[in-house]
Amino acid sequence: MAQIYSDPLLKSLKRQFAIVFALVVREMTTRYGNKFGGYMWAVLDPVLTIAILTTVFSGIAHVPPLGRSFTLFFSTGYALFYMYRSTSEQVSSAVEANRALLNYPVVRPYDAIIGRVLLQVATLFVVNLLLFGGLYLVVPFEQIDLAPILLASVIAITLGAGVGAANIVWFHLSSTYQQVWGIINRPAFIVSGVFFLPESIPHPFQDYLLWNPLVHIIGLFRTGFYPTYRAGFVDMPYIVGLAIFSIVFGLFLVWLFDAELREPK
Amino acid sequence: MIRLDRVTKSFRLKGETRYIAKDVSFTVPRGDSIGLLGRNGAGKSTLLRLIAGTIKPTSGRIIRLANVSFPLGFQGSFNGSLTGEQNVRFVARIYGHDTEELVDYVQDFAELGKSYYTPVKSYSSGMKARLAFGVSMGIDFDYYLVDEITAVGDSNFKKKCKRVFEEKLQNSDIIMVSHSNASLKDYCTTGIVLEDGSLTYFANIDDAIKMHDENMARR
Repeated sequence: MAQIYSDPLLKSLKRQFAIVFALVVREMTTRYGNKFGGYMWAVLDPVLTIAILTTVFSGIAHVPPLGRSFTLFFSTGYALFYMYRSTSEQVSSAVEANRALLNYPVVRPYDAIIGRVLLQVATLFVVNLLLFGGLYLVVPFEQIDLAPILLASVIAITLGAGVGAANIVWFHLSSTYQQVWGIINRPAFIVSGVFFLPESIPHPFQDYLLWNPLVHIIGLFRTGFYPTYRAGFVDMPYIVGLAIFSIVFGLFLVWLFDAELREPK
Repeated sequence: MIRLDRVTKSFRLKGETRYIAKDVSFTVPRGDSIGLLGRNGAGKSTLLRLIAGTIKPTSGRIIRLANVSFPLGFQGSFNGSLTGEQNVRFVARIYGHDTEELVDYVQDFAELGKSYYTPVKSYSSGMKARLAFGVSMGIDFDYYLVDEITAVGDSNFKKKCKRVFEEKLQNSDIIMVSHSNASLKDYCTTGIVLEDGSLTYFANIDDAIKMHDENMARR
């Protein structure tokens, strides 16, 4: 047994785990200030957005595209969009936000990335639990199917982490790109199917829309809440492949540009 | 042991490539403490960070068969909204050090009293420096990296720092950037002089100081 513990690989893995754990604890206490109340904002962001969407759209239309509750329809769309968006944002700033800590030779850019992803997964878990738990009290859903819900969440978070990791490098190399990225991603919210179904979009535009992986992932997520909804347009190989490709490519870029990332911008 | 193997470090400034080190190879055996000398902007601090591994050489590699410290008294990583104790806890965790032991050690060493448990943003610069020096002294390293020794606190505290640091150097070595010949002679046995991108190693610190003084007199 002693031999197993002196295995250098296992030992360095344990060290790496300890470093990531330290970063997670540190970010937990600093991210929203030192007070627990700060965490409210992680929950309030989706809740307020959904409330606004519900108020505005229930004034325009009489029934939502699916079911009878506007709140449930927008929640299932926005919760998933938020998982992707917040993960990609948190990861893309992971290295810059922890730059001072890179002065410790034991801390590598990868540790900051892994730490942020773990903290984000934990935060999103709590946020979604509160969001859908609260929602259940207001509009009880008939039945839910956890498999597509969890699968869609994992795909969205993986895609977000991959896009964020690649953006660590691109943002570091070009602040122009960072500006441009911010601008072209602003309408992402509108074209991701948060407040409509892709089935309702006329033909040539529907094809363009289906290039957006979030449309597929939101469709998959909704099948878990609406037992009769089929979402036949969901292309599983496309979204799974894209998520895996993005995380591998993103981490590869971080590895390739390790030397550049360690220098200040 | 630390070995530099054909290390080149350059950076571009206004379209011009400048070299800190060009195809440099040398080995630092355990037991030697090195002083880094050179004029302002020669790249001493960059070389120190290369040796620490916080930045990477442009080409070549650096092999460290030793536990190298972060810069002595480094305080840039302290998060202002965390207390002194929480910041110490963080460093203990990343170095796999017993957290309670380091927390107690620094509490005793830094003499911060109740402030130890208040956010670092309320500290004076002297308090921050004492906390940082305490952290550096609380963890054992094979090599301590020092970018200019700066005296901390009142004269009693200074004496304590010097005594504890010298105790540490019984088992550890030091790689030090300094402009003070006195502290170089105090702490270092060997020396490296950086001048115009070339790097000269001296087995005796006195020779290194002599060469550096000649360089300074020349230009």
